Amino acid sequence: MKLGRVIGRVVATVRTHGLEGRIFLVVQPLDGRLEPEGASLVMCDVAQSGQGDVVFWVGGREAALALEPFFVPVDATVVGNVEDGSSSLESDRCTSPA
Amino acid sequence: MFPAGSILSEPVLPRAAKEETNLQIGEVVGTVVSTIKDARIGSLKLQIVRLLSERCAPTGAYVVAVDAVGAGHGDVVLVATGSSARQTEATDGRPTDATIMAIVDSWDLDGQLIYSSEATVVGAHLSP
Repeated sequence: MKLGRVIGRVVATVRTHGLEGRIFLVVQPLDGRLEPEGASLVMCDVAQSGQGDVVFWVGGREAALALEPFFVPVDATVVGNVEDGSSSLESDRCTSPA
Repeated sequence: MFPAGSILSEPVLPRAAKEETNLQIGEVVGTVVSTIKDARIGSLKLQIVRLLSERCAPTGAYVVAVDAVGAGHGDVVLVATGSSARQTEATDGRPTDATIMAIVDSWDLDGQLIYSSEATVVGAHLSP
């Protein structure tokens, strides 16, 4: 799973069977410091994410498994919202195990 | 044990390969006609899709995708790639890795309308 930020929304009326009612978001992937990383992409959303939210998402075939029905042609899905924005990479708690 | 701060200065693990599987926006710019092909491709309609950035500018990349929704020339569509592309009734079990699975009406970024099927707002690159 990876981090991302919701930057937009896509409206599409005509879609394949099984995707009725699904929300499509434009998401900019982020690195561990919440800096943009790579090109933005479109994702399904199951986390009621909104504009500007930092989220985590899953890519590849597994992305469809977050949906019901899961036999749908989706390869990226937002599966959760990030509530604590601190990164362990920059945290004092990021110490090696003793 | 890593020295303190080493993770910040140098990635310990090699950077993952560029993510190739992602739902992408593109514009249908052509159709592929093929007589000699794998039998399981059957009569699936193949479209050439020019991929677009989130700002509606062509990325320079094209993909040949199976059309599962009946898109036409000039339509802006969503393309699913990778093994997810086989997860439609039309493409189940068939040798395809890109499927047009929706026709885009519009999208916005940061509240600004970028594209509408009625009129392109930002991108001036789309076919007439």
